[in-house]
Amino acid sequence: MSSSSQPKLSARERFRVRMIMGSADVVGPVLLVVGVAALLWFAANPAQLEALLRMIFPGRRGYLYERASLMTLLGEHLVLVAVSGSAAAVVGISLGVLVTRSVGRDFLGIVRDLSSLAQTFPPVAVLALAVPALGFGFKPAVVALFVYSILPVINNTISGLEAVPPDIVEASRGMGMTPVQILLFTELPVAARVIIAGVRTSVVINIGTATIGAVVGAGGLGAIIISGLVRDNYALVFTGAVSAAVLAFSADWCFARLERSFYIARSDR
Amino acid sequence: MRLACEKTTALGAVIGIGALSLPFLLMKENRVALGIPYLYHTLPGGPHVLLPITLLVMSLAAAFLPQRPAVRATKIVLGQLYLAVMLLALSLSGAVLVAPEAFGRVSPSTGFWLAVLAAYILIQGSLKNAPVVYPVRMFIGAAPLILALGLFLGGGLDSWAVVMEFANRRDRFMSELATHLYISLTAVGLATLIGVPLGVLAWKQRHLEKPVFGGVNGLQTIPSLALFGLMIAPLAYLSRQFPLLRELGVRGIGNAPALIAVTLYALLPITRNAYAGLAAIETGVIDSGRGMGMTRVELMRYVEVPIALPIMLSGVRVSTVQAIGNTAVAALIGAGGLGAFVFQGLGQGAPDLIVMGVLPIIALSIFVDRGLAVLIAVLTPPGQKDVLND
Repeated sequence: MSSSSQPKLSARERFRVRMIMGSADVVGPVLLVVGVAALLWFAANPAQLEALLRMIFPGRRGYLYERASLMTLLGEHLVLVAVSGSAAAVVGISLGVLVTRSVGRDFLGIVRDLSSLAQTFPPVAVLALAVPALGFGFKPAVVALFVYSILPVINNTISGLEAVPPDIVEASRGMGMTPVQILLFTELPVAARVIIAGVRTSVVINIGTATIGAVVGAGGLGAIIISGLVRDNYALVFTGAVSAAVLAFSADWCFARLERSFYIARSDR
Repeated sequence: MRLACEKTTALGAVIGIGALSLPFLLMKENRVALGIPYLYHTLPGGPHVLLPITLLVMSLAAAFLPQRPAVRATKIVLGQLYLAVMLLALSLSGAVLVAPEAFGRVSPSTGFWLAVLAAYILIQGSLKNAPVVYPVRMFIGAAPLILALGLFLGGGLDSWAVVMEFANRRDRFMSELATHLYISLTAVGLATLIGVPLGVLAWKQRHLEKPVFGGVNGLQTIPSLALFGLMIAPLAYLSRQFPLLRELGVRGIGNAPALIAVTLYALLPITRNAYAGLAAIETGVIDSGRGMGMTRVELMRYVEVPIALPIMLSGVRVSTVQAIGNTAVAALIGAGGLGAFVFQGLGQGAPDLIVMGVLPIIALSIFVDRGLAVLIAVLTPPGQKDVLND
């Protein structure tokens, strides 16, 4: 193909490289920094937010959500996602590691089957089922988000660890590394990109599902969207929707960066 | 001598026994009353508690036997019987409990759901890697569902609160189901019409690859509720400006924004897999086809389509499952569909109504997912099986 110094990649690998590289360019970061800065600034200055909304949606009343400030809702949303997401990452990675060790290998098949079956469930279904099981409010929403967020993490941890070339593990063993050292310094770093891709998927889905969390009484940015829908107030819907989108884009971008950093570190292997 | 133990079956049996010590069903005097929990052995109807215990102990014993095909088959039968006993107990004691109460209703509780999980582990764990052909495998998976459906149609689940909620809304249920299917399937159809050409374009024109995938990736990053919300204002504006659009049903609230948003959401998997399908056709394969003297049409018919189609279809599979879930959210912007029951239930604080909306949504997702998986497996040429192992 092009130059002979390039490693020869199959079409499939080329596609994968391109999918990863595609998520980073120059325009993205600039737009994101501007978006996040604007979001925080408007959240901190409700008067300016009202002025902006008055410009976009002229001749209305009630541009601001009176029950909670945008800052509070943003905070609620972040706490909801951070608590459930980090718990899911820790539990999901541990489970994935456990079923790929010799002690837990018997459960690999069933864990994989169950998690891919459960991933067929729509996130909103899991969230709605939290109410009959646990009631309304913040805690049931966190539990539901946690349950759903584990799935992509488990799946990717398993596939990441399974894809570690056996010769590297063999070489590590030959160097006299203990199983724990092999896991920490060989397997996990090599699998890190795939695992982080799982965390990224789970966090992005989580931010979206947390938006619907408002209907089970969990607060967050969904509260302002739903209140706007109920009252036919587009200004509220717009505020909530744009904020949620900015949040999702910035989280996705950060994780894409993290994911990519592990890819570069590996490619000169 | 060291005993070898098949841990998955052992886990299933232990969970199954644990399920018997948790509340199995809740009896409620009316729609909003608090439930009275019943454990399995306190149920007024159904097989004696010793029956499920015996089945589980036998499964546990089978876990310590060498896993010959006959042992595996026995474990599958034991798992099926255990699940059947649970369903029967729910049905029979529900009828007994509800009989003296005018508005009485029962719902399955933690114990029952854990028993379902236990049965799943027992059955699926023994099926894994078993030399069972696809139709038999499907029948084994579907048997409990057929039993449940039979009980439901025969009136055996009439005391179940979810079934009562359904019976009160039978007509509306059917129309919401139709709406749900209409929105999600139309959206996937539209997304296929747009996404496949987009994927092909991205493959043929390398410079368009980044903007195309940046675009469809970005669309899927936006939270679904936010995308629905953002769709409303522009559509409302358009319909105010153009009466023709209004007559066509394009309004801020309702089907139009839902259809557009669900379509946009469905684009990513379809576009990505259209691209991946083309990427999977390696130049060597084409060359050898050409070397065999195939014409351009034959190459497409025997080489390119068989390789790319299953990969493209798995994109459609992912999209359809997602679309069914997103359509549920669309009920929040007045699009109707099964999500309407869910949000109505959430609004009224009626858990049974929530479950009544959620169960068919989950069932639909799993049905579509499995159905398309079978279709893809059938269409995948033998040489490509390792590429799509699912």
